[in-house]
Amino acid sequence: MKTVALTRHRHEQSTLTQHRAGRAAKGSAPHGPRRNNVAGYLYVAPAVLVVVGIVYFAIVYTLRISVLDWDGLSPDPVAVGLDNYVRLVEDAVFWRSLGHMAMFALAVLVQMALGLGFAILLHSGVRAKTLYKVLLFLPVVLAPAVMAPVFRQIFDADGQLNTMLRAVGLDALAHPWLADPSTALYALITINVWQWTGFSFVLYYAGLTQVDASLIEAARIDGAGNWRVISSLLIPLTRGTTVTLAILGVIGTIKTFDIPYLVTGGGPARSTEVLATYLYQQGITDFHVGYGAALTVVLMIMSLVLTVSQVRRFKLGSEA
Amino acid sequence: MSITGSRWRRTRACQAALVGLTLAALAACGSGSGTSNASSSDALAVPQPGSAEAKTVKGTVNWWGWSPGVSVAPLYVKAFNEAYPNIKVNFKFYDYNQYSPALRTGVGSPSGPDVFDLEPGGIARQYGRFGTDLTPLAQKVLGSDWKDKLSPLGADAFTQDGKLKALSVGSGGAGTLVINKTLFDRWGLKPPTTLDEWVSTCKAIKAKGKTCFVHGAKDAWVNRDLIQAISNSIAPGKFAKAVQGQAKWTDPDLVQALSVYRSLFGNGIMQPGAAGITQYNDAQNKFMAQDAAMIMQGTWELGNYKAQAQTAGIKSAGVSSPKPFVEQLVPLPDVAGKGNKPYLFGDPDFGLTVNARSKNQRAANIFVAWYTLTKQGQQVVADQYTQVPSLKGITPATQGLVDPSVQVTSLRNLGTQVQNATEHRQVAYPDLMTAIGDAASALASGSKTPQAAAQDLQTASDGVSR
Repeated sequence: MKTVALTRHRHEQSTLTQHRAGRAAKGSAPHGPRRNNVAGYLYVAPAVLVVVGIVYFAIVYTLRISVLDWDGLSPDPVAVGLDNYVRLVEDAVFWRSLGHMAMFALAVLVQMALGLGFAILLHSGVRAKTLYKVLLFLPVVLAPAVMAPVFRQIFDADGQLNTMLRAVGLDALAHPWLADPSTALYALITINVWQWTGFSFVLYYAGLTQVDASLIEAARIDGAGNWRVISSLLIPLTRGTTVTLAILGVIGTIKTFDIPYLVTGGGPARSTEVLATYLYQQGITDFHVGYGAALTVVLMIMSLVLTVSQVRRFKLGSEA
Repeated sequence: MSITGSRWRRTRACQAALVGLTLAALAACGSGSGTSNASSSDALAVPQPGSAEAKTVKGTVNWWGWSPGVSVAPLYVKAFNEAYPNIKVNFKFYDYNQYSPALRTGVGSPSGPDVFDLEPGGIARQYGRFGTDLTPLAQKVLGSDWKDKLSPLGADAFTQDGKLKALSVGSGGAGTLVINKTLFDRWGLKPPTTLDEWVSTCKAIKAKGKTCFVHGAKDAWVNRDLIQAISNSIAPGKFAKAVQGQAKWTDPDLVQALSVYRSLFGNGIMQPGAAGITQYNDAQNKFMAQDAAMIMQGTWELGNYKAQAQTAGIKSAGVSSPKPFVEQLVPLPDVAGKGNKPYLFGDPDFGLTVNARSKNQRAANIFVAWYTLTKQGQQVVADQYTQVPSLKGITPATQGLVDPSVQVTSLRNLGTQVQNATEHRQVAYPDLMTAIGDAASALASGSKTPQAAAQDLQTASDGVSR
């Protein structure tokens, strides 16, 4: 009781001192706070300049050129109103790209499940944990540009995957995976899952280290088996990680570019085209900068809508 | 409605074409227009290479390009500096796929290039406007009959609205296959001259455990080369006419060309999975590693006639103890049995443009003139073999060939053919170029019939503004 009173007294004294100091500052040095404000603005100015100057300028500029018919170089672009957006609605490749992105988005669930599985396995008593962690995380840090030729080789008709299939008597499954429009997308999704499972694993592993061991112990005493512990304890307790991974996964899906561009170039026959590769082709290769901008605007709106809806769906703000 | 006000022009100063968050990352701000006239008489004063005056001219030339590559460019710079020791040349290399985006942002910028590479076709069409008219330079160095002294492909490919926007360094011709003659000789095979022979040759090669014809059908350009070559064996020149809108893509000859192209994926000539690999470096590596006996390449492959260059190429393909083998360029077989004489179609590999905004016009002109119009510069080009020099009468040195008994004749014959070629290889219309790539990809994967692919091409062609 005495301690509480003493603390309260000190707090009041401290507040009073701050209040007096504030009044004194107002009276004797009228420009002090303003100077502090200016200093504050200066501190944030570089970040504000970068964000406004690059990101927001780019957004506004993109909106503007999305209503032009322009090659990006000509001094005389032609305003076409919403024609680029109308064309987009009628563009079969655009819709196909969206379908492919949806497939990539579904694969996020696979990489999350794998990440959680590996995290649970390594969280239990497994030998050579560090080695496994490195092996799992390695694909995350490998540059897609480096890995693209490797995967073209692996999935080639005479590649390692088919060699392995033939070696185990599964000749019938051997297939030119990337050359066939019916399998190329799945091959890319496999690469994507391989690349990002390590990321899911690391976040889940970090989440699991925060779970109170006594909870698991209590569940075990109550007779819970492995599946019960996972489903009733670990999955609910890592919900925050799941939400984060889902949001990052969906945003990552929308931005997917490097793997399709480098491994298949969107082919064969557009079977692996995604929105980012398509807008690159339109804006950069084919010089349809206005149409490319319209595609970019759609990409941006999709990112915003999906992120906001996910945050709301999982009530991320109220979780804390 | 055209936007031409001063406000727009100010905005245009940011040439970067910030297409969005994605494309914005590729962009940077530049300014101004690229149309200033730089052809003053001072800027055109090109002293004779190696002369006393040449040694006194000072300047710096910032040169951007994807060609001749980081390993070869220093050879040119060194040779140039022997003639003009006080002009510093900085070559900024870009990967081919990154070159156009980089040039888009850099060409109008104060820190942009003084000289830049220009490729015939779409790139020349888009960026030629930023270059000076090089006609006076060519006239000054070669005289009023300058056109007669250069390969016709070069001047034709880079002339826009009567102005010469780039000077061709050298040209490459396509329509040929490259065979591994060492393997062919070992197995007693001859280069195929008909489709049937090609099929039977492939059977024989496969029986030896090797891939017959390796093709990187993921890359649109090599499919386009193959379709154009097939088309020329059926109806010479019709493909080029269709590109220019002077023939229909649905013409029976062109549909037949697409059919023949498609058949290559099912008759045992094309390796399985061709549509999943690139020509560079997937397919080329297989050929260099001698896992495949044939590949579609043009005269740029002549560089590998040299033992030293080829050894490096084999090593790059992952062979630990590279041994040179004999490569030979041969015509595409007469795939439709029409009996038409095969010929090369081609274009300048690249040309050099002087940026109209350059503040180093004289040094830039001297460099471009030395490289493209003088015997000294063009001899360096010829000796690399990868391009046939633009200036006529330059003969490549023939030292260091893997097998001179075969390759000297081949080298000279092909050089002459390229210098006299008139049919263009590049497509100047990006939409049509993309459509040809899409059609080839759809045919390769069997997802479209030749008739449907031809119709798609015609639709794309109809939408092109020529």
